[in-house]
Amino acid sequence: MLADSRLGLLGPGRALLSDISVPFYWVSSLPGRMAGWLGETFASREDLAAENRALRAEALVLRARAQRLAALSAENLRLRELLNSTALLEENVLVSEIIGISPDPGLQVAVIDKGRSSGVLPGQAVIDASGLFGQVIESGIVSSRVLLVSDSTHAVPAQVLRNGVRVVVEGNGRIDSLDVDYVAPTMDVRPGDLLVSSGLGQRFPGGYPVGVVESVTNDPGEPFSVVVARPSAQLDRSRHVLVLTDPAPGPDPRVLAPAGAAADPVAAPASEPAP
Amino acid sequence: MRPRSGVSPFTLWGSVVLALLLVVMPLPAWVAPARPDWLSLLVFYWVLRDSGSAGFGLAWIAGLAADALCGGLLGPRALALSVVAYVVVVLRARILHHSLPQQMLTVFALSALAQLLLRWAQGFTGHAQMGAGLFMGSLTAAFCWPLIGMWVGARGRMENWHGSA
Repeated sequence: MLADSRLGLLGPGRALLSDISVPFYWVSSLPGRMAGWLGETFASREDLAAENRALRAEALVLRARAQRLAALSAENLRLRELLNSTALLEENVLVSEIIGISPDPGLQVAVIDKGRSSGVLPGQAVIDASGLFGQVIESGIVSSRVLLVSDSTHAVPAQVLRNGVRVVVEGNGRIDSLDVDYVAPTMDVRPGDLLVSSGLGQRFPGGYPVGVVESVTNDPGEPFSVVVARPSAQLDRSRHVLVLTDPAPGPDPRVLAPAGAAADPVAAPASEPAP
Repeated sequence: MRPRSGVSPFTLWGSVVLALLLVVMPLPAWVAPARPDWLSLLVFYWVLRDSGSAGFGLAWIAGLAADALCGGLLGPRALALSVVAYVVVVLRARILHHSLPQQMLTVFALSALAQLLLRWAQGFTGHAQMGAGLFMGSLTAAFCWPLIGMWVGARGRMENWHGSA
């Protein structure tokens, strides 16, 4: 235990462990898969047709948006050229499937089915269809472990989309809520505000939704407001996630994090005390 | 390791693998916190049944394997289960003469002890402590014990246990 947490002696072995554990997760998820397969096979024709219609409608809407996006990104590029600033890097994404969730309720870690062989490395950000999901903390050869944004050792530098106020969003161990820390009572943060990753801290790319502010409570006796947000990503429902494999990840979390937090990369400023 | 009272190593380690599968089996989010503490049950059962072939080694290896599966720090479960195994080895003769409710209470106490040790060790790495949900798994484990105990009783093994105590 000591060798693992303080000295990092088991580094290479741990990646191997995540590969070894894959068959366990696979076998244990068989009943659920069987149920899903049966449901798909014996779904009624009406259900399938309805689903098909809904998907077609969604595809149409998305295609329309994509048209606008193409025009907008071209315009954006031209404006950036005018301003002489560097173009935003195109990000490579890798679709990957979640094959297991850590059963430990105090630890929010998912296992995905892509590893070093596909270019997944520790420190890379993981998103799902609706927001920031987490980051890779260990990568084996064919599998990786992802620390969810809601884990109590995870923090994301973010900003309020409406006005650009910078905040730090921390997980609190519950899968359906996030804490927004160090919000002074005078700061302009309201329920309903969308929090997007700010890209500060060099770990997460900027602009991905992290959460939506749910409540802001001011206690006159406390120096900071208590702000609670709901994660944008569907942490408990997603099946497929995207790993952002490019640009290259920042420095190894083990180097950044203070001693003793080897397995818990924290993207927040190092001066923050753990809650 | 030679089994003394007819427990084949295959059964023993097969049950360990089964318990590990149950530990990582995906459950709906609202049931997951009440997942029975299968590993403590496993250790409790085997040490009670045959402390000659199952003991610290089994507890430690099963715990370490579970740690590897769950991610995070390596070792807290190995430590917790070894402590459970120790208590069962020491109190074995007494527990065998307990009635079923008393045994359930013992299972709950030991599993709760294991959970406390586990959370304490995880606290080293800065994970938040859980509230009242901490002992849900121990509670369900205690209620699972009669199933295992009855199954064993139906096959007439209880007497053998007393004989080998």
